Amino acid sequence: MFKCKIIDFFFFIFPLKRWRDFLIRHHVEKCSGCQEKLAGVEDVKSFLFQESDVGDMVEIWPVVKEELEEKKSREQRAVKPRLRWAVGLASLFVAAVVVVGLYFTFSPKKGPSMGDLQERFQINYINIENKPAKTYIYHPSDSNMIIVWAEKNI
Amino acid sequence: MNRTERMDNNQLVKSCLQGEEEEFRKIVNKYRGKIMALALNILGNREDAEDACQDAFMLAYSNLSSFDTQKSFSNWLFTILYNRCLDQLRKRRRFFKFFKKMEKEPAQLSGNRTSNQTEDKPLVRSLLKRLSPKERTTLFLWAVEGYTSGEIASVLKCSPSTARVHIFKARKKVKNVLEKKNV
Repeated sequence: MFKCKIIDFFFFIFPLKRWRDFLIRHHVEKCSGCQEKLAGVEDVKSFLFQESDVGDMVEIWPVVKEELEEKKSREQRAVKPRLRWAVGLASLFVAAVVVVGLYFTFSPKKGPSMGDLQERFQINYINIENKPAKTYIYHPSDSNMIIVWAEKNI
Repeated sequence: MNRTERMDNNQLVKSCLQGEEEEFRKIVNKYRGKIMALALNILGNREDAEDACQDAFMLAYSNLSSFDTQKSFSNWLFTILYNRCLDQLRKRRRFFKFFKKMEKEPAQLSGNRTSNQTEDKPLVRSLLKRLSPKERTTLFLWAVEGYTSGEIASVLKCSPSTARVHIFKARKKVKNVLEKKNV
């Protein structure tokens, strides 16, 4: 009994789960004196609610089933707006593709390229006051522009 | 739980996963008594216990795909219920007035048909006050379900040594109450 009191003292002085478990396994479970200080299975059962005490409880299954069906319908309802959104977005995408396609098909073509310009640009002569003028033609390398500069020939 | 029972449960779970909702009815009917008893022991109130049970079964059905068929189904269900009951208790604490009422009548069961059950359990009220939800769960699993500390640990998600300490402390408290009552 003295040993039990020491064990009790050490049990309460160190509130460490592992330490307490050690004392329980190595002393309490084997000591009849300590076991007497604990409620037995039958004592505990006598005050706990058991399966037999809840025999006339309400049926859980109908409620659970109702909840499950409600949850399913909620999920289906949640799917419908999602489907509507998906159809809407797909239609928008198709419309955008059609508009872009039409734009590129019917948009006015770009002006002639540099090569075409050079081929088409032709000056035979420039006269200033009925006299041939000094003519300079500038063609900036990074531009589509051609500048013609004519100067009176003195 | 023996192997046959585990296989039986696994079969039911597989059927449920394949969309056979009626198979879940078998699971509900099989476990509703145990589940309700544990909920009553933790919450001490029939209405809350019924709510917790329904929620637990709903959660179990929704998360059936995450159940490991190598493990015990009842343990898994008890864990879900235990967590639901803790949520209920947390909610109850928020409603101060309601909580006060529960403190006055913690083990009162609603309805005439069940009033005798409260009278059959005169110690429940005083014991519920003394034991924590964890200790009530531990005691139920240990005494009524015959669980070992390892199995209790798997339900409470703690170590077996912690479960053993909970059992010890709860048994000691019960003994004290019983001794006081006898005096």
